[in-house]
Amino acid sequence: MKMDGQIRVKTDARYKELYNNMKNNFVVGDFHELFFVCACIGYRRKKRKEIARGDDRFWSRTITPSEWGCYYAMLLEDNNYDFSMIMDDKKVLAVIEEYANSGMEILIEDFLNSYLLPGSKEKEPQLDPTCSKTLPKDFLFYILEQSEVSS
Amino acid sequence: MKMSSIYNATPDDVNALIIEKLNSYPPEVRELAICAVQLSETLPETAVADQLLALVRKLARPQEGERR
Amino acid sequence: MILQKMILENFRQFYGRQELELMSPGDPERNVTVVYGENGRGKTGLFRALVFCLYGERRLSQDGDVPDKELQLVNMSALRANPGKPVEASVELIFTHKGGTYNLRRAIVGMSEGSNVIEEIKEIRLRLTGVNGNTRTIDPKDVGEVIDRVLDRRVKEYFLFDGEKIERLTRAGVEQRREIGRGIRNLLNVDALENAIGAIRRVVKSLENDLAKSASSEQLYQLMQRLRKNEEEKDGLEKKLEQLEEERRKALKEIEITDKRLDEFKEIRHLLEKRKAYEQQFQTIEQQASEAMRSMRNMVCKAATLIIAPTITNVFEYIERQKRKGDIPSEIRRDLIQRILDEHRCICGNEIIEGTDAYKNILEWLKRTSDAAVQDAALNLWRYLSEICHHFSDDEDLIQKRIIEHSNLIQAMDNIRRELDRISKEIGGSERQDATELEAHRSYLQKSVTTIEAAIQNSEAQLKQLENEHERLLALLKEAKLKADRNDELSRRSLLARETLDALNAVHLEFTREIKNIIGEIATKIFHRLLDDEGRVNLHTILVNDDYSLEVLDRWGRPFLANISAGQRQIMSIAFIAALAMTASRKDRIEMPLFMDTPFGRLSYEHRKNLIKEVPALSSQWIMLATDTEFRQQEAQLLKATGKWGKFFFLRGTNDGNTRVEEKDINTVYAILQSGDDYL
Repeated sequence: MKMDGQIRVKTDARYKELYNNMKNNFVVGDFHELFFVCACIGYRRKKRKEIARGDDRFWSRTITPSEWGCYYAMLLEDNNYDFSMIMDDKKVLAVIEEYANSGMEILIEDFLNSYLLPGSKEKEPQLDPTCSKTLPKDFLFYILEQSEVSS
Repeated sequence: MKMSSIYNATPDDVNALIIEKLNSYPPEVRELAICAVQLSETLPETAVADQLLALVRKLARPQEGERR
Repeated sequence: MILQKMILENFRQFYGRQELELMSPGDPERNVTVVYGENGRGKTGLFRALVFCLYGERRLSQDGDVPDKELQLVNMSALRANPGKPVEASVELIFTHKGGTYNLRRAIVGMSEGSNVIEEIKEIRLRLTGVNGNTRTIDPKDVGEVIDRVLDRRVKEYFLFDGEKIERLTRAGVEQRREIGRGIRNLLNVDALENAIGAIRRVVKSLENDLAKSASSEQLYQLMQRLRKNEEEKDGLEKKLEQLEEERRKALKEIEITDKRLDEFKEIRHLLEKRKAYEQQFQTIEQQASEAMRSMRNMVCKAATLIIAPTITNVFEYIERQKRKGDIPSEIRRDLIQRILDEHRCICGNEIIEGTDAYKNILEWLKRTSDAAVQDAALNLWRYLSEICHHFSDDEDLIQKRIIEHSNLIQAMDNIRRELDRISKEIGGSERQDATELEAHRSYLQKSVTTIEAAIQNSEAQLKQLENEHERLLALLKEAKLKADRNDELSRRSLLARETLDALNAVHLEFTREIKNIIGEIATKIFHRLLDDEGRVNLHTILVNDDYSLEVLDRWGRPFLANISAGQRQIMSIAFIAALAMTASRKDRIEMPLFMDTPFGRLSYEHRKNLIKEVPALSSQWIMLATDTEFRQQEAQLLKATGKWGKFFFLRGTNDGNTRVEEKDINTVYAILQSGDDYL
């Protein structure tokens, strides 16, 4: 629980383009933010999924203390407040990666679907640049809606 | 509206009107003018001029009708 | 002359065969036909068709400098459908005049050769059915004369009242005088007299040549030479004046066009300013919107935190409880307990033996404590979560506020964009007009007009001098004549010819004055019928001056033209043109179909009302050419009330740029216009 900055955070290689697109289209500021959103969604739905083909996405040093705090909280709640479960940041992030992986699936299915290039969803989802103009706002609105979704 | 005027005159009336208006002029002027108008009804300008020249010569001859 | 039917075939915009039955059979009282169509649909084309059919002429005076090529009569679509083949265009008119029925057809054949179209008159056919019912076909070479007897070709254009002509007459000046002079000369109908004057002038010249050769009377000869020279100079100056006036007319026309374009610019200037303001406003809002978008992006993590708010709250509350219980941080350090257990000795010095109660108690303590790192971490976590928990509600509010703000900005942008579209549409394509360039061009034109006008003034002064000189010479000549040898035949001939020329000129002048007076009288009568009550009180007489300028006298006989309104000026012009038309008809009524390209422009309701009421009574037939802006609810109501409205034709534009004539029932049209809709 040192908020270790030396860990490479992974996502599924499939989402590489989507991560880039979301950042380049100013939907999120940086990768860690999208990762955080996905983790929250996955966690809220209590869905974890192993990453099929891991791909280093960002360094853990970009994760903010608040985000770390949330990750620790998730793990604590998951493990009956056993603090030993959050002592190793690598292990913490490994769990969170699985939540984020699942969260991304939900995000695509629920929301991003209509903003993707047709046909890209199944392989490597990519944003359709022509319909991403209002995406930042819609994205925020979607996230806000998720807070009202019961788990 | 005036009835005996150029306004409602037919082409034939126009000549009568012209003749009427020329009454106040000396007879040879009147004669030459009337002849000019009458010839003009059928002939082009140059042909009229030719015929008028002949008439002028005739009218300008010193005759007993010298009175003014 | 009453136009009963007009049949057009491939003529101008009218592709194929199209018929206009202008009078309802058996209903001669309903002599008003409305032809309704947008500009360019062929309203004036109908008048052109009439003139073409009657006289074989393709030009109207309003065509001005338009090249012949642009006045092509054969329909383009028909030519395109028959490339390289001759296409016939024709106009057939059926009209009644003095009991006779005339059926006149004139055809033209056109053929396209590359980009050129060659047109040639093909056929003229006139069948005349007399009062007795006998029909005869007129020899084609006599058709012109027969038609001229119905209506002299020289006066034909008085029966087309177009806005431009009316506008020209409302402006005082050379142009107006020229127009009026031309009109009056055409009406005089004294061809023989004019021919006679020309002939006598030739005689005078020839005789003076003779006189010069003989030189029997030096004094007379000298005088005549001077007179001749004077007259030549006068002729030259008159020609020069005419030229100058033509130049002036052209320059003024160009100024008018330039002014229109400048006006257009002026008209759109406020729109341009408005658009600029909107564009600036749009930019500001756009910036705000992108700012809002940025701030929304920064809220993504805060929003996501809300998703797991229950978890954060649970964990926070758990640690909080632990803290309250004293478990975190634990009162006794774990490493101390571990040492006691390892060394089997308490901090008080007593030995602690495994398996005793004391040992068990200490073991229990050990379970309740955690190591320092974990405790520090828990406390840190507690701080972070506390921070997050305390902001949940504020964050949610803020995010919602930002979303709403952004939506409002987008809405505002949409509104401005719509407004900008509307303004741009209103501005049209003229916006890029370089006003400065136009203004420079205008001031150049204005300068040349000033120069031309100075030259005109100069020439007029010279002319005046020559005229005075001419009069003086004539007087001298008369004196000389008295002294001249009565036997000098040459002198006598010459003098006689000159006196005759003067006499005929005097008669011509008298006729002109008479016609002018009559036109003035008729125009005055019509003027009074068309004016509103106030105008009728103040404006008494329309006068055509000797120089062909128009004047209005008030009821005390004083010139009043300078004081009348634009609408009154327009009414005056209409009255004057109507007087010309009536004079041409030589009747108390205009005996020709009057084509009026709706001159309602500047007219007040009262004037419109009078015009609509009076024109059907003034003319044998009124063909009103109207656009949707000219013929609306009010006009339809006024026209219907006259009981004279018989026909309505709609000129509908087709996809291929042609015009289709559609006759509509006047009651239906009336109902549509009354409901407030444009017919178009």
